[in-house]
Amino acid sequence: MAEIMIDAKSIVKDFKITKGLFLGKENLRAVDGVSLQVSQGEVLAIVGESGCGKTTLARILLGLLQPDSGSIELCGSKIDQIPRLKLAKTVQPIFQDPYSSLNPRKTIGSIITLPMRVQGEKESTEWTKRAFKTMDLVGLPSRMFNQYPNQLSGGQRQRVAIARALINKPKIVICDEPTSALDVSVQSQILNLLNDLREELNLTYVLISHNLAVVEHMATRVAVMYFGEKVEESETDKLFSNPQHNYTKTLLSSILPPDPRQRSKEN
Amino acid sequence: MTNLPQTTSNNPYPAGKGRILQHKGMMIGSLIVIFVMLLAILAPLIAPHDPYYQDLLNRLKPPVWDTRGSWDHILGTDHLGRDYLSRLIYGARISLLIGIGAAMISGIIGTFLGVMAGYFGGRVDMVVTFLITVRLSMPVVLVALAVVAIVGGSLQVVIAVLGLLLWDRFAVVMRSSTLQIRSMDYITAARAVGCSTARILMTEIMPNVVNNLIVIATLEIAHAIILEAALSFLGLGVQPPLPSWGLMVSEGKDMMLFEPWLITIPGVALFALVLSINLLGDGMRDVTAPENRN
Repeated sequence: MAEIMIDAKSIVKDFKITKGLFLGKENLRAVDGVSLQVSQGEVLAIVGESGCGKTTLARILLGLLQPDSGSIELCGSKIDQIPRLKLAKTVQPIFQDPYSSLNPRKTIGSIITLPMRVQGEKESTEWTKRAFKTMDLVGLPSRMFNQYPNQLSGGQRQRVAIARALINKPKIVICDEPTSALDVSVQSQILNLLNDLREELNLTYVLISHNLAVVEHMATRVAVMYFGEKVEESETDKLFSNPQHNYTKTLLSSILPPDPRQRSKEN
Repeated sequence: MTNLPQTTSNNPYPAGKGRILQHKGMMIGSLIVIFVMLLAILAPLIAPHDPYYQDLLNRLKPPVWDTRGSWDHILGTDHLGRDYLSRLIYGARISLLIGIGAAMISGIIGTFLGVMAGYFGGRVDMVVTFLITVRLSMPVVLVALAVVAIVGGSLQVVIAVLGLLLWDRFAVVMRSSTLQIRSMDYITAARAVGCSTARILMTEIMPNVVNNLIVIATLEIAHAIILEAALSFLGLGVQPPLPSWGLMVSEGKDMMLFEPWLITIPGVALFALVLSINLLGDGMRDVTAPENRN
């Protein structure tokens, strides 16, 4: 049995919404008692429609939001007891929009080396060498080291974001819709890159997506979320061939077959 | 493995030299500002006469281009026979000192409040917004006049009063631009990477708001210079015999109809300095913005 990397138990997160002047505040339950277990080397996909709490869950797993109740253990220790810098070495995010995830004022080099700088490592040739190695790993030419993000394409930007996430060799990577802002042709490149990196660096992924084709391609297990609750969780093949919950069935039937003739037959 | 791969020697500095040279407004503005700064710094070397020396026999001499003018006093003399060119050159010191001093004080206050409000939001934001509203409800000239009337006018008092009154625009602009940048993914990424809040503010937020800061700073320098001139004109700014441009206009106003150059010369100087500072600010904004970088 592989080591359990993420062990989250009944996480609840509420947000307070102001309804308007004098109307007081209302609670919005973004995540409602979600439990997850992810073991080493797995790719757990979390699917669900917009606003069902996927991203909130991701932020909680990253330690950026505190859950209102429930407990999270990463690699066997409680998330709120891991020091900030150690947590950063354990779990790293990859965001949806590569246009807002890179600081436009910094060079690619300084974006990629930021995690090393934050960890307090001394700047040296060893440093630069590691940055170049990581750039090579994610398929970025090293000549881009001194360029700025606005000189790069969307796919290249996403590679920079991946390099930043991986340079300190985290154990868990949380990919929040890593391809939905990219071109279709670039999407598959990034997905294959993520798959290769997982094998090479022995990573564990939590993949958040609403693109079921991506999920089928990447995930070993799928959790379906609906209004903040986890309604179903099973192996990828099982879920796609034999969905249990009604919402999952609706979700799966919303996929359009690529062949238009088949599509018209079904209707 | 010892030699590192070649990187393009792409200009790593955001404000490329070429972009500065191509920007006409910025070139004109910076030339005038540099000229005035040099005048101010080198005033004792350049000024042909002592700006405080009164020569009552040579009162109200017109400038050299007038038929009655002479090269001895290129811009003539004032009502006490002091050399007008020397007073103008020394006056540049006062104007720049007040402009930069007041903008620095208000810049520090306003940026601090604005960035805090924008980044932390919630209660901090409420308090800062309240402070901004309170500040905006006070008429600057009136408050400055009252304070100077009570405390007494001097260079330091004017700088302090203007510095404590002009931070509102800094705070408003810094707050809104921080608010905009706070929600960007790279801030979240920086937090996930383990950056401290201070580090995020300094290395992720500040570089992205600094071009707005520069524009506001130049506006406020110009604003402070004009306010100083207004206060001095009303007799509550820097006190005579200091050669302030506003004071020169004020002292010349009685003779306005007979000797118009007495107020035209310091007026044109003020106009040119304020215009060039604004041109410089606009140029800085254009040059440092990432959009046109290539």
